[in-house]
Amino acid sequence: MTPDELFDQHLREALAPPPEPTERIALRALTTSDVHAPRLRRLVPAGSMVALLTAAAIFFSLQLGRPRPGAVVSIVNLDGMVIATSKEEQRPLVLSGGGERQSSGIILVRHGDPQ
Amino acid sequence: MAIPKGVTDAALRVHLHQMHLDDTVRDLAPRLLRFTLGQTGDAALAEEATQEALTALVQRWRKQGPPECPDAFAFAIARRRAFRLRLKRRLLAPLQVLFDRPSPEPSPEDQAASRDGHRRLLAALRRLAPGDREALLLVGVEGMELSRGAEILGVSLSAIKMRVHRARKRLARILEEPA
Repeated sequence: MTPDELFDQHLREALAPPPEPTERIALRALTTSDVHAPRLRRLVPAGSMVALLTAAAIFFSLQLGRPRPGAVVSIVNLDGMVIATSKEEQRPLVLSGGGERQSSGIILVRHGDPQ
Repeated sequence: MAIPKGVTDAALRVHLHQMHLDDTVRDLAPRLLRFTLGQTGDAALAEEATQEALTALVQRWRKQGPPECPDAFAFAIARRRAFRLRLKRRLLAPLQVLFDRPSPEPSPEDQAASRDGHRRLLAALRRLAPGDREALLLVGVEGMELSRGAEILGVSLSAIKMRVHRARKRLARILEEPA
């Protein structure tokens, strides 16, 4: 026996599987009637992922495609002075501060175009 | 062999066919397990890859007759499956940590594999280049003809010879290193 053959022989013996799983695998292979079932089972995670991605894509495309509602009020802070401007000139935004216990500062309400 | 009365030629052929299949599967099972264990370094993955390769062989045999070379057929499938299973395990490893799933209990095979020498050999095999490892396992360990091994691996005859030679030298060197 050459050194290479001895080396291979040693490897073969070291990797030799126990008889019990060997027999079990052989028996199962000979008695299994349908190989397609495990193949289908393997496709389940991939299918779920595709469905999830499709649903997410549809959701975001609908959300992004929808126009944002127009702003009704603009509120700006100018050196501590809060200015609320409404596009509707017909009615005031803030009626009175009577319900408030303490004033928090100056509120200037301007209707219509600031110019 | 004496043929019992009443047994038709067709029934006899089917019976012989089945016997040949049984013998082939029983002969291939330990060899495929050895090969996939050397490939993956993991007894559970080796069993799964071997099971799928043998099941595919049985299906093919029953539907279309035996392949030209059952060994090459089964080893080629086992090789692909072992690769995919290792890849899958590597990809899923971070998820397993994330969800803090406990690792499965070690099988009796894994416990057997935990013997020092065995574990050291598997670790050494993992350090070989994949192509070299496959060539050594197919040709050296399984005693497959060089031409058949070259066909399975999709390389030339001279390339597989070189790979086997290189793998033996490198593996011997790794095993000589102090543990």
